[in-house]
Amino acid sequence: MTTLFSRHQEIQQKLNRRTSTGWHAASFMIEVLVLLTIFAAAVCVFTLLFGGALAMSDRTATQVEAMSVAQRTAEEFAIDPAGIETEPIHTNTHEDGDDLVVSIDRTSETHERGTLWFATIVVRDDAGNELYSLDTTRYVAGSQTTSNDNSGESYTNNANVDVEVGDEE
Amino acid sequence: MNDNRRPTRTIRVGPISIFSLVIALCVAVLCVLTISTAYANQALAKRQGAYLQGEYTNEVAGQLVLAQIDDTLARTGATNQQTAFTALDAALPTICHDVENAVIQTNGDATTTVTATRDNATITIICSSSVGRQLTIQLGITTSATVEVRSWRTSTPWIEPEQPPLLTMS
Repeated sequence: MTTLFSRHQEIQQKLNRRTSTGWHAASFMIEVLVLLTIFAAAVCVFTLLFGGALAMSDRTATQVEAMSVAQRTAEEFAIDPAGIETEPIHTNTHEDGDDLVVSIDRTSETHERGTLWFATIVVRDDAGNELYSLDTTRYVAGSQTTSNDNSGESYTNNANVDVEVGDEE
Repeated sequence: MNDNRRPTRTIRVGPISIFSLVIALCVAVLCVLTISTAYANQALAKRQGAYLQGEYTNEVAGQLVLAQIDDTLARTGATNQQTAFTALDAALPTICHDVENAVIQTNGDATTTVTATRDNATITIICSSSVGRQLTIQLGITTSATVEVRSWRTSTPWIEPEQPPLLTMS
């Protein structure tokens, strides 16, 4: 009788073990599936967000580069307003190799003792989209300015010019 | 009797799940940092662009003032410092007003202000744009009644923020 009872117990234990193993396998599969789903969704969302941030950073870098180019051109214009190149100029300083096109619309106004030069500097990308524009002016005392005359004295009769660009505070 | 008890069926979070969640959390933090950095850079670039516009709006105003002062001296036929200063004292308010209007036409900035003052032999012109950039020009008049630029300085003056209202006890 005792032998029969112990035999019954052994069979019961085996059955329990099989049921337990099956339950663990099923729960593991469910866990993996849920995990994969969540992970895939997270990867999709993160990829979109990273892509958006990267595109925004790229646009910002291009914008900053356009500002830098516009300012450089404005300074060149201030040095020699009559001799600056007015044809569109392609610059290739952008990191990813995209060209920026700088165009200058220059006009002048004759005054009693000199010439007042106006320039509208526009920086565009390859596709022709305007990135940045800057309006500047330069007064050149003495109207005999020529594009070939690059001596500083011909552009101004102002002595002791003390130009300080930058924040003083 | 204890051996016959059915095993407890609870779902426990496995180490792989925890590891994956930690990775996802780290990537999420990195993502937030990347996006906030991108937005900050964009805001900084916009501010830089506005400052540059303001700086060159002031430059336009300064050059226009210079041209008009030179015109005034030529028109009045000033031959020495005294006659030049007399002519400029009368003309400077009009010049400032005209330049402000011209800046609106040239740069479309209606908030640029131009002020001119004379202190003995030095004329100080201050051009301020709406973004806070300021151009201070100091001009002198030579003995032959021509304009002499002594200083051409751009700056950003510090504006003290308004104090928050103090709590008042009723």
